[in-house]
Amino acid sequence: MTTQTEQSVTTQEIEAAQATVAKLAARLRAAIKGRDDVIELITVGLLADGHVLLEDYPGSGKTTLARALGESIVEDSGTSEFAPFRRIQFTPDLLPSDITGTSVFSPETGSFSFRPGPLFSHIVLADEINRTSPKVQAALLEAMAEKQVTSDNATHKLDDLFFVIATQNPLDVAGTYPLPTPQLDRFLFKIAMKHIARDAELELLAQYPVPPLSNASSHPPVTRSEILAARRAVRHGVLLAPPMRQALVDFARALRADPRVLQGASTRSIMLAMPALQARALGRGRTWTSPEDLDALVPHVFRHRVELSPGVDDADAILRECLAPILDTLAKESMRR
Amino acid sequence: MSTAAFSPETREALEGERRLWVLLRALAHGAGAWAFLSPLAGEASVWAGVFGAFVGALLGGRLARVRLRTWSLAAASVLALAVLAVVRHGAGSSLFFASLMGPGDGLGALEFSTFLFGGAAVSSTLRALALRHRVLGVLEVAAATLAVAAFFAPHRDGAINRPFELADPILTRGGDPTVAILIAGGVAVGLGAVLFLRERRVLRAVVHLLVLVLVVFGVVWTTSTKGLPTPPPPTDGLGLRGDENQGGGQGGGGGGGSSNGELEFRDDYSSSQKQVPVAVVIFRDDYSPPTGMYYFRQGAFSQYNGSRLVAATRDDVDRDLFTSFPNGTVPSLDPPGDGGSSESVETSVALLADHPQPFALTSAYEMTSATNPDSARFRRVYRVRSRAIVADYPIFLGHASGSSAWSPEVREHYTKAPTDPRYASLATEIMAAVPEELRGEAIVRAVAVSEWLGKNSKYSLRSRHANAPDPTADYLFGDRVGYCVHFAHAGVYLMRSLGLAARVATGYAVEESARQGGSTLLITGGASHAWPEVYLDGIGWVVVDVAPEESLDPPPPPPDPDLQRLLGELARGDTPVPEDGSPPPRSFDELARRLSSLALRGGLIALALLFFAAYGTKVWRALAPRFAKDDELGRVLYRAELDALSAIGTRRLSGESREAFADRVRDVLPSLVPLTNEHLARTFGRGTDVTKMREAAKALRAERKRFAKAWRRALGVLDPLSWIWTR
Repeated sequence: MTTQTEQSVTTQEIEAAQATVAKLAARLRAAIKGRDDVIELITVGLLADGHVLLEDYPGSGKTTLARALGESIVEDSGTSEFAPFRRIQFTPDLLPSDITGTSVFSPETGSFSFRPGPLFSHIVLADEINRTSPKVQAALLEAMAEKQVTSDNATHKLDDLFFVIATQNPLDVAGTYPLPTPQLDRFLFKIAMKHIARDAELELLAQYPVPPLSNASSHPPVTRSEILAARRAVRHGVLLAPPMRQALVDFARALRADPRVLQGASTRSIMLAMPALQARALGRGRTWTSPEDLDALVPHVFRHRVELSPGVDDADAILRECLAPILDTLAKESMRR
Repeated sequence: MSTAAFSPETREALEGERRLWVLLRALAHGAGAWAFLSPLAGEASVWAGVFGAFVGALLGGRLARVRLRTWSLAAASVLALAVLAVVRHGAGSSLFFASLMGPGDGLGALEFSTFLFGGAAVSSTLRALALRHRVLGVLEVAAATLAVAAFFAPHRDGAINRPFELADPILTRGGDPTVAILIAGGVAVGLGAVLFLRERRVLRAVVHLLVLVLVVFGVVWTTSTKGLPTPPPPTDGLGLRGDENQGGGQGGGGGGGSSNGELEFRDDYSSSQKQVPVAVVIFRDDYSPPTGMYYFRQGAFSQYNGSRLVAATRDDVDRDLFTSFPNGTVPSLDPPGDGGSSESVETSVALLADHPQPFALTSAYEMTSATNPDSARFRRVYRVRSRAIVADYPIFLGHASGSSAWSPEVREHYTKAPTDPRYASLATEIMAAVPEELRGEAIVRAVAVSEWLGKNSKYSLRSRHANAPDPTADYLFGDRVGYCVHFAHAGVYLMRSLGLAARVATGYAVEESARQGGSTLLITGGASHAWPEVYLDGIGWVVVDVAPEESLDPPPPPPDPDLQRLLGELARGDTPVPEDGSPPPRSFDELARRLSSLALRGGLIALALLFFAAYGTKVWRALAPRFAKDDELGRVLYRAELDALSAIGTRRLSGESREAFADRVRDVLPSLVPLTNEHLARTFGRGTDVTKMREAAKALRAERKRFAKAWRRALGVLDPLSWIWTR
């Protein structure tokens, strides 16, 4: 009953994809200390072709992480149409055209020509996304969902690699435009970053005065086409066994049935979860997804998608409670004849 | 109906109800209704109530969804019950139904519908309240508990044969229903504990446990649980039971408490526990007293000490009494004469409560000790031969008062009356109404006095004479409201004023009708009595009781005929026989012995079988990898390794993935990680690499040996159940 086209991916391609992931992870780990878990999630997001929302305090290394990711991917298609990395600081007075680009009158040709905005890059860091007006948010989200921007009735395609890392501050919410649930739904992960461990922080201080990103340059970068190939290998080469798919659906149903949850997981969210599970399995050196991938990714995939009843606030606890019986079922499943 | 308007908890309760539980709850409601109603009503009405409660419990969920506040819901239900009561009362007193279907069927139909709707209303309300708020579930539980407790409550106070359905089969086999009822209670408490403690939150479970302990404590505290009736507290004021005077001036009612050997006058003669049986009397000969009352004499008060009658201090008076229990056959020292007016009646007395001295049917002349057929139940058993009077008072005409054999001191002892002149003048006044030719007859004088007292007194256990210097005078020349002690004293004083030899006797007096046709008479604490008697030459002491024509107190209820019959059979030493004449069943003890030995043997065999089955499974699961085919190995080998880990106490937690478990023990058992990977690849991946798996398992075995101490491993091998905990 498997519907995947496994045959189209060779073992060499899988191994190449795994090597790409390893290279990327090594480079990022060299640049960022003590964030191995976030690095894994970000690479999973990148390979699963999702976008990531980081919920974090200022000064915790979001920009460094995004810049390191952007600088780790080099352009090999020969065109310089897309920048490797752009950072957009979202402010209340930002306009959609500030990020998508705008048509400019050219006196030489006497016509309007489109000047691409910062979205036309591989990696986009959308900093403090909740500080800008909903229309700018909507423009960004359209770009994320469709990989295209619309300006003056003309549609411009974005890069295939296009990957957004958005951030928002969980505490400083005065004067912000919180993202509504359907817009949050477009992010694959919402990652709550914690402060890094003491040793990692000490290691970071020990590097001074060498700038953090310069460590990364000693590791080889990956190319844009390698990433795109890895994405293809993930989707077609990693097995998602029927029990795992059943587990995803059963989990979503359990979440919707929970009385503390007003709005449970959408069908889109479990669709998005599938490549994420595959990407993680690939990153871990497997060619098949396992219950452990589900265990590890479920909080990040579903945390921001559930809307809780008034008075209930611990989404992670509810996710854990709903997941526990599913994991037990999967454990029994593996003992079946 | 939408449940959106309710709190999440209520919504959960409303929507999370499983059908099976709804049905079981409704059945429990029906059973509770049956337990509560079955002693109250006819069979049809009881079943109507049960059906009502069942349907009501089913409808409770619907009622809980009605958009009403909880308190309005409760108020509406109370209102509905009130309306039901009013309608039932109105319909019961109107003649409509009675004329429609006859009085009996009319009442039956009313009762039927009342129980039907009442049961439905109560059940649905309780269910709805419990669904709305979990706290109110306590009401539901309390109602069920009360219903069951009410069902068993009649068992108290000596009614050892209630409920009949439970007690009779046990009693006919010679067992004690108390044990069964205690077992029932124990099972109920155990079930309650299990249900109450089946709670996710520890704190709630602890609170539930406390509630349960309180409930059990309350039930035990309010119920006498052990064996037969505890004797009533010694408050009868007649000193019939030995512990009477040990309290030392209880209350102020008795004129400063009673001292040894005197009767106490009380203002409020407590009637609590009057129905408690104190003795069983078996009539070996049929005897019907002419006065309609059986008198059992225990003691007498004949010595006037200047203010009241006390027990005699001389040893040459009241010698007809038996002052101690017989050992062998003991004759009376002053046997009653025959005089052609009596016949010999033999009775057996089995005491259920301790008495300081025996009592006997008037007038006893011989007492014999007897073997106690059931020493757990009866304190003492003895036989009595009495010269029972069979003819009415006229037969005593011609017998003078007092014995010719008496010394002047004895005669003086029995005739000494208070110096208060009012007694003598009243006595003269009474005698004036007696025909002149009969005035000389002792029996006529005595009867005249008692009849006058009966006509002019009102019976009440609540009177106001105890604090007077002479309570008898206060009663006799006051409002003439009193009880037997007053009547007896007044009678004796008046008789003595007329020169008769009289005394107050105490004991029990029971109406003949209480025998209810059987040969057994149950004596309850409420039958204690004091009465005047006169001594007639050649006859002995004759009871001349005062029967007040007017009573301010309601008459006491008749004794329970079943209990009377049952105790009689037990006192006879017989095994009670089923009423339908079928052969007596096998004795309860033998039955219990057989059952317990069967249960013991069966239990041991079952235990041994389970033990071997457990070991067998364990060994099989451990050896299975050796015989498994390659495609099964991924599962079987992993299971064997998990079993081995479980035996040394290392197990996956609930809700933990296999990989997370392997990762958790990675430090000590690193080979579990590849083993788990290979195992999972069988189901989730592209199949197990058998060679890798075997290698990992081998490595894991070595790691396990390093990790677990030898004793832990030995224990794991011995444990037959270790594989059960494998996840």
